[in-house]
Amino acid sequence: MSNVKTFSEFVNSPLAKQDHYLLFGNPVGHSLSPVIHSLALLDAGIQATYSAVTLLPEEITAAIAWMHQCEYFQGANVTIPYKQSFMEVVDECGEEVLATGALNTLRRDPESGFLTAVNTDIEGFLAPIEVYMDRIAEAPVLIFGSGGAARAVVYALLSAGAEEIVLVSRRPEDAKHSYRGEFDVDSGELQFVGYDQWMAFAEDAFLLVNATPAGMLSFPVGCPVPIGELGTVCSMYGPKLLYDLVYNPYDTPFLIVGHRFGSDTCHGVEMFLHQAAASFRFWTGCEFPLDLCRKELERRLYVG
Amino acid sequence: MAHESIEVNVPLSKAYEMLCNPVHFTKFLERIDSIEKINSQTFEYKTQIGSEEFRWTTNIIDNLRNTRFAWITINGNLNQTGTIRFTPLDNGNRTRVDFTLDYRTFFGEPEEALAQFISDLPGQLDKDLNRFKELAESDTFKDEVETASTEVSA
Repeated sequence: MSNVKTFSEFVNSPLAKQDHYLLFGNPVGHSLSPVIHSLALLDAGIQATYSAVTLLPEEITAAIAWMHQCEYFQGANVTIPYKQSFMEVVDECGEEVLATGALNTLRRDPESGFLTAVNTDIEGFLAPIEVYMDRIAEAPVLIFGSGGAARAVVYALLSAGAEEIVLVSRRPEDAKHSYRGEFDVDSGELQFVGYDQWMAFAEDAFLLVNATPAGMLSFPVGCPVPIGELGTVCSMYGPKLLYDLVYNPYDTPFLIVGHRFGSDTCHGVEMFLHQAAASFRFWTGCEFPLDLCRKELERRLYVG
Repeated sequence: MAHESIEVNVPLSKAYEMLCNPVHFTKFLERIDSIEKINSQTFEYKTQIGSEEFRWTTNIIDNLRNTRFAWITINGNLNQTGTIRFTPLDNGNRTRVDFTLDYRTFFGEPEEALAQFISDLPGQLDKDLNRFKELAESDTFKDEVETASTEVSA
């Protein structure tokens, strides 16, 4: 993805003068969103392009004006570090955007230029594990991480009926404080613990979610917890369901250990596909070719 | 479980090359008797602890060049897991190696000799990493490996 443009470069390119969708973020060079959305647009017979653009801080004002005013701009995905800040610029938000404090998809109304935002990470997270939801709701859920990705997972799980969620982070008190306001942190539904306590909470949990960058390519840490501890938890208290939000590489150490010790696993690529599918439906009203895009992703992901 | 770090005065890529092949571990992991390569991902370990011989087979589950390396045990009578992390220092001219090693039983509590082996792990790993540092910095790490290979085949 070395030909990713900045927003300013995109605006001055021929692509800006035809119907287009964008991915805003910084960095976006390794995103596979253009691959799958381009395939989906082609499959649906829609004449439009999807481009990832690096949005520099000094370009934000121009990008906001572009989104409102450009007749060719159809909609966008938004990723780090703009998922929270773009909330200020949209005209309408889905309830889940207000609840999580983050959006990942917006759509432009062709008549008014109004921007409507949703967060498809919620649907994207839940869709692949729908068959497990009864079991998930009966037991505590353990989430490693407490940042933006974890926040969407918490909202998704609470809305799907989970009654006890344990968030594991380096600074649990700070995490609890940051969740106050958007979530009820005193009702007992949410607990905030450190990495020295996670195994005690894992015994009764069924679903374990990695919402940290551990395992991502080029990230120095391979697994959110020591693999010996994870293996012990899975073999002594399993089988569990391990869900990794990291989608590249396809098989992360977190999932490999889970699988090795008898647990079910859900790959991050499934959440990635389902959130993309929900974005695509929101923009176009058309179905997203999940199987076609899954095959294409599997060709491109690092498989070790 | 033991987690130890050491800074070695060798470039990142060289440190990674030395540590991404478990057959070389016997040069500095004092308490492992032998490690045999079965295939590119699978290695068989053997060691004597007390009066008992322990053998286990490991699989590499994570290997990102110059960044991280990890393995788990897939078979055997001792459950070993390991993680190595490589961090460049001084523009990659030196390297910090973070080494995590864990031993557990698959079933039940360890017997006395194994329990001692496990409880001695932090101090032992510290000693082992200092041995690695010595070999790596004196540029004799490879010589040690070649000598060992010669001895085995002789």
